[in-house]
Amino acid sequence: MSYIQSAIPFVPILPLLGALILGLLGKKIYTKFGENVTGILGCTMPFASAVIAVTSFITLNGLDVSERVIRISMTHWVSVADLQLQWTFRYDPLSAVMLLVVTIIGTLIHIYGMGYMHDDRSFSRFFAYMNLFLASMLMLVLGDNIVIMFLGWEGVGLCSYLLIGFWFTEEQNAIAGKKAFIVNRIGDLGFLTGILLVAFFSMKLFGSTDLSFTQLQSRIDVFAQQTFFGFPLLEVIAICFFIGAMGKSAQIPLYVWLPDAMAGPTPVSALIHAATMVTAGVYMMGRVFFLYTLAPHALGFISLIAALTCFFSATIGMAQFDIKKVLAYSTVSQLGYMFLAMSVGAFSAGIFHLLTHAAFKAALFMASGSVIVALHHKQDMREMGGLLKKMPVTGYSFIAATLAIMGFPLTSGFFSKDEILWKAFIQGSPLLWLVGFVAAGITSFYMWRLVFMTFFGETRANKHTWDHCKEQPKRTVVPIAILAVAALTIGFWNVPHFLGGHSNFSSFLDPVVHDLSSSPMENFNKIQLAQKTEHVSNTENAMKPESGHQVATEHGVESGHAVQEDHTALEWGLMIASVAWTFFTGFLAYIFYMRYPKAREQIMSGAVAQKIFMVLNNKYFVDEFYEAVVITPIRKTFDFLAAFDQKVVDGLVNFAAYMGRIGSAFIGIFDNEIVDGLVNGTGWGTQAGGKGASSLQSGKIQTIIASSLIIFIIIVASVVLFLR
Amino acid sequence: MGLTGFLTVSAVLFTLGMVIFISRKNAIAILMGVELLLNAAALNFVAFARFTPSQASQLDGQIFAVFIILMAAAEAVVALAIALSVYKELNQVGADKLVSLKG
Repeated sequence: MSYIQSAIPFVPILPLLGALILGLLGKKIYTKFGENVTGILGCTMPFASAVIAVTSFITLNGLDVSERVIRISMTHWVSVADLQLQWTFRYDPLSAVMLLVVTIIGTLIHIYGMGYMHDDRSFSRFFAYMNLFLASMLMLVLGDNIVIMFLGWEGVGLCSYLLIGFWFTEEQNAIAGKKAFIVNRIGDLGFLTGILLVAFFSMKLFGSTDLSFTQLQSRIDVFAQQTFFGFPLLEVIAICFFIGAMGKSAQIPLYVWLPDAMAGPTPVSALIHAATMVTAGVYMMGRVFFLYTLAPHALGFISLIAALTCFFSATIGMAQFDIKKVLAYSTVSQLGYMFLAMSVGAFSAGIFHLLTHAAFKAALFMASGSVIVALHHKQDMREMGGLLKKMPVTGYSFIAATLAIMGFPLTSGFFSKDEILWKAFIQGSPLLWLVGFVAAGITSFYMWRLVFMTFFGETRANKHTWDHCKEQPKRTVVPIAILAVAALTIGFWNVPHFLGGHSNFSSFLDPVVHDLSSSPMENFNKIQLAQKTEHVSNTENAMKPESGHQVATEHGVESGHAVQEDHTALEWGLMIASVAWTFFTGFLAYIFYMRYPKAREQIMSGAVAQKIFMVLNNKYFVDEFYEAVVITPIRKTFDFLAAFDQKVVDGLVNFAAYMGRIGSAFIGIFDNEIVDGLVNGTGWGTQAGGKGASSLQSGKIQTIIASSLIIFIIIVASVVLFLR
Repeated sequence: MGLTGFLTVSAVLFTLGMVIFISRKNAIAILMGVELLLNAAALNFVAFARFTPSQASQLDGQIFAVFIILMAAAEAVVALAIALSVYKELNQVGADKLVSLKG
């Protein structure tokens, strides 16, 4: 039993334990021992998980490449006929990376949360939820079969809901929580459909299944030949899975919940709605990359959605004034980048952007949270400004993270985003690149706008707030600073070949996630051709020279290098272009928001500019559109159904009851008058008879004699008359 | 004078006795009524004995009559004794007042 095998199960179990302890006893601990003990208790479990994650990661690095997939089977779970689900965790380079992201950032944000949630009434509840979230997220990451992943998937959804509505006493927050939950349900329905399709076809084709990724991967070739209502099965499953990812990772059209999710505490926004949970969709696609490799049309659809998301949410971000809303739209936009990478087959680039984004976006959110607390929970950037002097650590961390997100050379965002743009250009289409390129510029613009409005210039806060504004305590700023450093440096893990690096990250992931070496469609055709020629060569027992070449290109052995070298100049060109473009837009932000605000006001006063701003500020009216197209009709239908229920169904019920009452009344009368009458009558008759008979027994001798005489006469008379 | 005359007298006697028996309240008067009834019955016996065609039982009726007289005497003794003791007990002998046998 190696270290990894014994230690990894504890990674999700420890936070779960923490959640249980804090959830059940948190209130008592809080009142008895105070805030610090509760907070430290809340941070312990994530920290322990992080320690295990780091040590396991080091151990994994020491292993041979071929041994880097470790499946840790614990116990049976569901065992129904041929469906054998097991509690199995899968620790491989992909989940190792995710584990690092989740546990380390999770721990830092827990520590940060101690500062942020200072003096909150529900301090212990916050940490219980956060621990529960970590447990769910880690289960999602470690799950070896789709069902465990789905379990974690739903768990993080639940925690997201609980934490968005954390301050549920304000109705707006509760509504945001509900919105997130319901929109996620739509996505989850897609994901679940995909899972059921996989399970159904596994049963149909193979007779038994455990729904593990390993098994699915080994059977994928058989799946690829199936159709489902005329569509290729894998395309359908891929789309279903992507719908799940769409909900969780906030892609058009299901992104609307994420900006509203900013109603939760800022540590939640940083951990769940920026760094970890929302990237679950990207992670899931990486996990089942083999499926997407064989579903090029689905990838085409995804690239469309991703590019649209990337661009439109970036444009919305330009016109927001709430500091967290800007970052939220930025998150949606960056998630678009990740899906863009996934959709052109650059899986490792997508995962790498996930990693870097987790670092810089968590830093940005935490820094913004720090600002918000310092300004007494003001989130409007129009009431900020000049904060760099007051809050140097927060400010410089924020600027560092901004450099990373804009793609300043040699920061993490530079490496990850350029890789994505390059792959989008070469394996997708120049159009995809163009959209990503423009969005990158917009990103740089709104981020610098944010920086200048918040940290530079004259303050626009009122005097009281400004005087009380100060740098936050260490427990708040140190995690921010750590993440800011990570945001600057983490990119060196994946320096591309043309810059003299070795793409270490991609090759680290390679045992489990293979990037495509050409566009998904070409790649798919090649695989099919290769299979065909294999078939032909098996039957004809002779290999044609060009088919051999095709197989070689598929594995990217020789021609891959040739292609790369051909494009070095182009790669440089694109990189320089995007750097120049982001510098330009950043400079534009400097001019408009720092140097010459008058110029901006002049431009903005134009009617067209006003209109554009209005549309962007209102988020393209998407919420209003949903309200009108989806929610209102549903409400109306429900109102109609309610009215139908009340009038018709209730009417029928009431009518039936009324009829019953009338019938009963009739029967009641019958009962009272006739049946009772009979009974009473019998009694009465008997009584009367008895009375009559008893009057014979008057005790008077004459009466007795008279009556006996009469009876005697009657008897004699009847004998004389009738018996003769 | 045939049997019918005797029977008529007997019936009249019986009816008178019965009427007295029923209508009178005094126990002594009732006893008198009873005497009339007995005598009506005795008269019947004697009349039937006188007119019977049978030779073997010519005296049967007469003997019955003697027994009836005897029984009437005994009855009178007992009944008068009862009446006296009732009188001692209740200071009156009204038959309509003696209703302790009422059902």
